[in-house]
Amino acid sequence: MNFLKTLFKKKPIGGAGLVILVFFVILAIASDWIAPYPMVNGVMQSDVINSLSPSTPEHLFGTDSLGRDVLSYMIYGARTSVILGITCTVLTTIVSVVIGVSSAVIGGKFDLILQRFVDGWTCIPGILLLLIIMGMLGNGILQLIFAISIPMGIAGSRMIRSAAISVKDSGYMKMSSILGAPSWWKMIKHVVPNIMPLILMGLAGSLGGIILMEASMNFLGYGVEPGTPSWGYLITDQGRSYMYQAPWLAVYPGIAISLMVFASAMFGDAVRDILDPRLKGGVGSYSSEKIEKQVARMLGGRALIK
Amino acid sequence: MKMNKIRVIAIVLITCLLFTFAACSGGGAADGDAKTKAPTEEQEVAKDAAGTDHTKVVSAASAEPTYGGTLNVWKQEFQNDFDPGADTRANQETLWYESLWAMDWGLNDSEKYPFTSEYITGDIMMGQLAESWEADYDKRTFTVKLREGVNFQDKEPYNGRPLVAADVKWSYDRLLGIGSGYTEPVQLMGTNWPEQLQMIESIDTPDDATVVFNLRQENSNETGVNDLMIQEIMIAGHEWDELTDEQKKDWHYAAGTGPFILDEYVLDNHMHFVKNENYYGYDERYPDNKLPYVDEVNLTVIAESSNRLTQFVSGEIDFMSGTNPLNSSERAQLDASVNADKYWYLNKNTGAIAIGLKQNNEPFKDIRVRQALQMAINSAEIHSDYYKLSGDMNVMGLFNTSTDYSDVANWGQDVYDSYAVFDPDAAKKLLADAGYPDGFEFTTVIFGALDQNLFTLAASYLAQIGVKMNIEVAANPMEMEQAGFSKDDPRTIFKNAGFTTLIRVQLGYITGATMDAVFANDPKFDELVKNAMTANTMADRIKYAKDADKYFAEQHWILQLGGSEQMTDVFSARLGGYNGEQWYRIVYPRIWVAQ
Repeated sequence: MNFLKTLFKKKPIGGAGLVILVFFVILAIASDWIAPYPMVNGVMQSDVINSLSPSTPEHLFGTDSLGRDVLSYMIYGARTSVILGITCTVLTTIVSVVIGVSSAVIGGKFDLILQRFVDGWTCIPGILLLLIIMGMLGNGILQLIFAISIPMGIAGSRMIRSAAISVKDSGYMKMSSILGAPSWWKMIKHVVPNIMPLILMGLAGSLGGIILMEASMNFLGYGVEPGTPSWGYLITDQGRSYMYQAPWLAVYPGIAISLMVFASAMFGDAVRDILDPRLKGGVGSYSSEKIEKQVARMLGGRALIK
Repeated sequence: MKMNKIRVIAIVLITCLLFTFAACSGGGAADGDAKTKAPTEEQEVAKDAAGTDHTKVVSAASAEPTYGGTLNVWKQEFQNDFDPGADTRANQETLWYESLWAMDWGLNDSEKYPFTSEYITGDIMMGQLAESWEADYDKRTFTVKLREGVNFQDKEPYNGRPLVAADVKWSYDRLLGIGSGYTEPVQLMGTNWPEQLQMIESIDTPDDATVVFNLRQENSNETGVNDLMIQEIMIAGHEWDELTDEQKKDWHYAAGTGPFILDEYVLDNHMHFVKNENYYGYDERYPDNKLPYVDEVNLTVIAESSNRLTQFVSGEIDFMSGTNPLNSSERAQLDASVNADKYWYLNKNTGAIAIGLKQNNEPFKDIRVRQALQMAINSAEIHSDYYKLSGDMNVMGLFNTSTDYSDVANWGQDVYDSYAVFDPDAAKKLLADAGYPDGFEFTTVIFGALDQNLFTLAASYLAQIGVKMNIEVAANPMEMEQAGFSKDDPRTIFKNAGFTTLIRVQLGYITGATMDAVFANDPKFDELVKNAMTANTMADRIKYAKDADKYFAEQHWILQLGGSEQMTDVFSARLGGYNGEQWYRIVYPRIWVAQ
């Protein structure tokens, strides 16, 4: 509760980001009740006679080439984005934490081998890796979750490892070792709780990237299965083909993706600033003027010698 | 100062929003419509026997033949095979070779043959290197007289020497292992000539201009000769045997009697041809005009469809047709392009897109279920509103309706209606009668290149009767094969209807076929197909094939998604003397281009 108070009071843009994210989550959960044209048997209903219709009272956001209501499609598309966003974010974080923390705590040859593997992995361009994995696994939400989370998790493990190493040398860790605690105990009891702010920051910060990634993969034809509502799929399948006749097919999902990415980025920044003020960003945070004022304050009001 | 900043940001945001709403208010649709070509006086609208609309704009270039210029064409991929025994049909880019007979191109008369199907019988083959031919079924001979004045191209290994009957004998002998030093058929990837030419027992050459095919007893009949003629065997000479293995793979030694000489070849990138100045051929439409018309032909590999479309719009390639024509969304893109008045279209019927319903799967065993699924698909709506096609919907069975093998009119009203009439209530009742009042769920696997929206649309129709169809895009061809041709895999796959050849039917539907995706195992059907394949006369073959077509339609082993899909070939207006025929080896020398 305190966190929310701080968020809305100190970081209103971050708070707005949270509101937008919550709005999309509500859309995702309640899409069957909210959508003007709900799915029948899990399938969006088509009305090809009214295909590519612009905005009308019946179809506020118009229709696509199959006559599907774009507003309903967008609402159901939020479900895909939210499921993917949340699942991928959690899975990415778990992978990062497991690799990073175990590598740091166990150390030795295990650390050496694991880190060379991570180095090698990060050398492969991310998008290429995604395309290869999706090419092997085929399209689908589960495949997409796997293809996004695992590579991102492996790449993100280095940051976690660095943080975990700084905890590893602390006194309580040494005491724990002397008392004969096993590695898994030290990881769970000491390391993870002490790097939790960093984990949470990573969690909030990666959401936007994952949503963009999902949209990109759909755009490249390696996303969800045909028929599954997805903003990225709407852009690539309909928006690109009917850009001139029906621009709304690209514009609305484009706005939704931008909004969600913007919201998650703002929320992520705010979480970072609140949990770890040392990394605080924002306008003028690192300007020479501000630093000079801070230094002057520390020096009791005396100005710096220029 | 701060207020000013806020005002500026607010104005920018409001402007952005206004642009967004303006863009989405429907004005765009009007623009798009304006760019879509409406039929004009210039357009010729014709209908072939299959009921396919052939809409084309007569180009200025088509008026009078002209020499010179370059024809620019794309290919999905090259076969990278210079062997004269390679599959001619697959190797349409082998412009240096010719065969005894070729598809009757009928360039001035697209009505004569639709050229939209692969259905070919002997009576629409025309002599290419063959001048005349005669069969004597009692003597079991088929005698062919060669055209006079034909020379090989003036390059290694033939160096411009005349064509003789021994070259034809050599070309067939090596494929069948029946002479010219060959005791075993030559092994070539992707071909099975001994099976396809099994009617030939031996070949004689009484003189340099005469070839006599000695036929086997059981094939000394009309269908045997027909099956011999439709195999377009490329004619080369014994000099090929003297080439080393390296030379046989070297494009410099690719030579034949054809109208174009291969001048440059970059693996999987492009081929460049120059005119064969010593080509013997004359244009049948303008008997004084020596062929070919164009000086050069460029064949470029462009595998990706959007790249192809871009290059076509920018005028770098002259037509987009063949095995990868435009689908409806690509057609829409092209209609909206700035050069929409610089090309013409040919709509063609590519056979019905369908899903094979595995007969070993519980719900599909019951014919009532199969009929119910079909009646839930609104084929008429797909035809007119999804594909935006005018005219009658094309209902299809086993064979494409452009062939003589299909006769939808004789199916009977009930069978016809079961494909053409949309009746979800009746479909629901049928499902309930079959024991599925709440429907069921199944998965179908498709190629990424298929029209995914059509399958999505079909899924929405099926959902109305409680059937949930999941669509999976195959990650690779092996997955498609696994899903389709494995009896144990519950998934179904895309399966064509409307075939054009008996061979395809034999491969795809009869018991034990390698590409069987329905597992019908129906002896009656197998017998009908076998009878058609082994008939003595074309009339008998057509009769049995029609019976098989009707039986197939009655059984509903496949679920057709909206009659037949129609694809579009598109051509640059600078092409002349061309109606969109696809037998490229034949038509390229007969095309001229505006300079």
